Amino acid sequence: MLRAEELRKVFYPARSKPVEAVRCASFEVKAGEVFGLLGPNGAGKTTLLRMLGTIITPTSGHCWVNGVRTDQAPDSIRREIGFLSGNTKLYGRLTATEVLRYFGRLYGMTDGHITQRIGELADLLAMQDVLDRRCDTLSTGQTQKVSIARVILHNPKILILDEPTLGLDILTSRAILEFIVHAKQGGHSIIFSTHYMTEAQTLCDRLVLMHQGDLMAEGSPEELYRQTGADSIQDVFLRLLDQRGGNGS
Amino acid sequence: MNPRIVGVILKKELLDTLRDKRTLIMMVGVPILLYPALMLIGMQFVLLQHSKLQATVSRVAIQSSAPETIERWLVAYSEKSAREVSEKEGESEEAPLNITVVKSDQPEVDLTEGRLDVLIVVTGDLQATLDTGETAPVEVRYDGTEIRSQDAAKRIDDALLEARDELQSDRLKEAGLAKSFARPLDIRRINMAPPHKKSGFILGLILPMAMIVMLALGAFYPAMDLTAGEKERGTFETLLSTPASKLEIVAGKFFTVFLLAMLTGVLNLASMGATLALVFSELSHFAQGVEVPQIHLPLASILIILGVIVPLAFFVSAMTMCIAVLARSFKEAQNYITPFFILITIPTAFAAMPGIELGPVNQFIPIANVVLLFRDLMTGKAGLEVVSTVFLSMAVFAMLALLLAAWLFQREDVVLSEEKGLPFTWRRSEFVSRPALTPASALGLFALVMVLIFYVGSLAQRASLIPGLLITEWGVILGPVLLVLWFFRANFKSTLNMGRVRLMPLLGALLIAPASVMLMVQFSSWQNKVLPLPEDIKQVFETLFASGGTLTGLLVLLLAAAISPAICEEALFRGAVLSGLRQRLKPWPAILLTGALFGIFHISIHRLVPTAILGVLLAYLVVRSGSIFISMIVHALINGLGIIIASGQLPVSLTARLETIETNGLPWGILLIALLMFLTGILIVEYTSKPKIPPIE
Repeated sequence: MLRAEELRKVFYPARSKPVEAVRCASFEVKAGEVFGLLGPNGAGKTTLLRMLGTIITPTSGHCWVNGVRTDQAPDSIRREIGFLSGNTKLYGRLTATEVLRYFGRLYGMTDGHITQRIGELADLLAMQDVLDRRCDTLSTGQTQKVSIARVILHNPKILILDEPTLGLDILTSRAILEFIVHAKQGGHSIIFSTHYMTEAQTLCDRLVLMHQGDLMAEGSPEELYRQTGADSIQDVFLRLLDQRGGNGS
Repeated sequence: MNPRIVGVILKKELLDTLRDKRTLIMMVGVPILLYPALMLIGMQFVLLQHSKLQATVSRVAIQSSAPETIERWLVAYSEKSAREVSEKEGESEEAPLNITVVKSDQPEVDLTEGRLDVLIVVTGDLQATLDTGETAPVEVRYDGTEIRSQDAAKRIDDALLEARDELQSDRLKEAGLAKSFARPLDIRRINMAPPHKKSGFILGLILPMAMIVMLALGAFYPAMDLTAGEKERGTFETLLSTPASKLEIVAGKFFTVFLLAMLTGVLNLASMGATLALVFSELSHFAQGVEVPQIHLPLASILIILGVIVPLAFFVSAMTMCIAVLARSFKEAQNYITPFFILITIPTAFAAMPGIELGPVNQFIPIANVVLLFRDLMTGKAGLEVVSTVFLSMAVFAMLALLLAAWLFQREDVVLSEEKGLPFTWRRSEFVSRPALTPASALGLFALVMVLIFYVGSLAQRASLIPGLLITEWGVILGPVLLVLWFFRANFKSTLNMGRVRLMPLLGALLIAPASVMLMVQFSSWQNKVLPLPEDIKQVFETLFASGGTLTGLLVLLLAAAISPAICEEALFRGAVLSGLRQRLKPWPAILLTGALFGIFHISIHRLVPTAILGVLLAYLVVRSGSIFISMIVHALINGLGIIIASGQLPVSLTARLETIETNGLPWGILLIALLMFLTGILIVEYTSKPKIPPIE
């Protein structure tokens, strides 16, 4: 479904030295799989997800979606992807429906199809009451629900969700996590990043642990426990960090 | 590019922008309400002030041997004008007198302190002078900074002129001569311009300014809102995650800005036309007898004006988007846009300058050409050829600006920049050592040097030419270069391109230098035909070269005008600026830009082209040879040879021949040799150089 090969991204800030945000990231995500990206702030998760979502181009390395290299047809690849991050906000001066209609049209959907999808998603995410309100009047939780609707509107095969539960209350968080499970059952591949270890533990089929631009380990939670002898993802992460320190890197 | 997607983006952006109060106020509020209102209020205020002034009584003091004579004149005039006012307004009561004579002990102090409006001073015996038939000097002293005093002085002038005419006709009568005897010619000036041309002239001065300002304001808010504003609100990345390509996004946004700018421009044109018509009709009602222009524009002119607004709005919209997309927030965008706004309003002053015509050069200068075309259209002067040239050249500039915008939108460091605030700090410790300045700091250094030359260098050179030149080169140019490199922790050796000099490029350079001198002589003889050197510039050069008459003088001149520029100017342009630009640009764009800056640096329209070409040549030599010393040698040789030729250190016969070359150009044979030498030099440099400057990533 999605394959990354030796992705690397270097930023050149005007004032300081070049920053290597992601170093040599390779992995594969299969259909109907929840793939987690774990790591502290600044680990390079957002940069990696932005490269997968073709928002930015890798300095080197490539990425394939359904066998098509993303840099060869980035505009059509984006039809297959729903991308959500902390930086993908909604237009405050438009109503939720107007926002969804706009994005639906950009994805090439017909008006009838958009109306039908908005109805379905409003039911799924319990957000009928916000549809006609301007986005700048919505609460954080309501905004996130409209954003999720925006991401899934065109029914993409791959969902890239960057910290989708960050800053949400328990109820909305739970709704979002339930939605991820629902999407997985519907055959979507979901790549999501978080720094909540328990979230990753319960949801992910497989996950990678990132630190300072490196992928430290990859596998299902059980495999990672076995490899490190830990009994929680948090523990796995800390042990791997210790090993890195011991290796002198 | 899918036009449907562009349409979807355009529709959404229009909806989004029109829901923004700021944009609505700038677009619709200002032209429709505020701006006619301001004009009418101003108008009423002027009328009020005028009638107030008319009702004011001017206080006059008289210093004369016969004050009562003068007072009699003033009263007579005042009574006459009071009668005229009463007749005009049809009132039975007599209007009050508008001049009163007051006594003052210190009339001059009273005048400057506002207790007196006018002081009349007549020296000598007035009555005796008049009796003997001579001329009496009469001074009307007033305070030119006070409107009240100015108005009073005008009244007194009128009163005294009337008295003079009366005295004159008395004298003529006594001598038995007719009134016409002292007036052999009756001269009248009559403005024969048809009314539409008169009004067109006035409109031509006001409208371009208003039009450009309003178009720009109409473009600014949407442009900032749709680029920097969108970045600030965090919705840009959402848009980038959709299948819409960057080109479709930039097109959709651009057409939104363009449409809104056009709308604002047309709204303003209509609103301003209506307001002016109203103001003029008020004026003609108020000021009887005064010529008031009638608004009358041929329909064809209106259509052409609307037609020219299209590429103008296109250009301004695209440029504004280019600037605004560089900013990370609305506020930052405003900081960037303000200088651009000032820059584009400067050409509107062209229309008001006497003698500037829409000619072969300025019809290609963006904005200035539209301003001048507007003026000519208003007076019905512009022909179809000029209209189409201006339209086409504006269209080309507009397309270039749009391409630039599209290019900027493709750059993720521009569109997704996450650095906060302006990338600048005053703490040296925050900088990391770097191989060259950033392009921004290199251009900043250039600007700093230009400012210093303007304030310090030119003053020093005016005080004393040769020491002034030395101060400019070492203190104003090299000094700041070294300081800035130190401050930004830029490596001196790599920033200044101080690579080793190798033999072959040096040989090439030694061929290029004398050949360039000959080619430049040829160039200036061509240029002199199109753009002759003004006398004052010639004189500066003559003074400069005259000092090279003696051997010591020549050596000093060579130091000041050949060796110093070769070291200091090279360090700035082919060192700091070139290596800075190379951080972002490919070799040729960097070379061309360095050359252009070197041309601008000479602050003279006559030296712009040759010095820019020289700048390109020198930058090319440094990029190819990797060593600034090569360009220093060439620069020193070119200036030095020029000085030796110009300061008359050559045998007389040769000097005489050079003077004919200056006017007639080089003989073809010599020109051919110079060209061959130049090309051979370039070939040697091109094929024996290994670039020492590492390519950029």
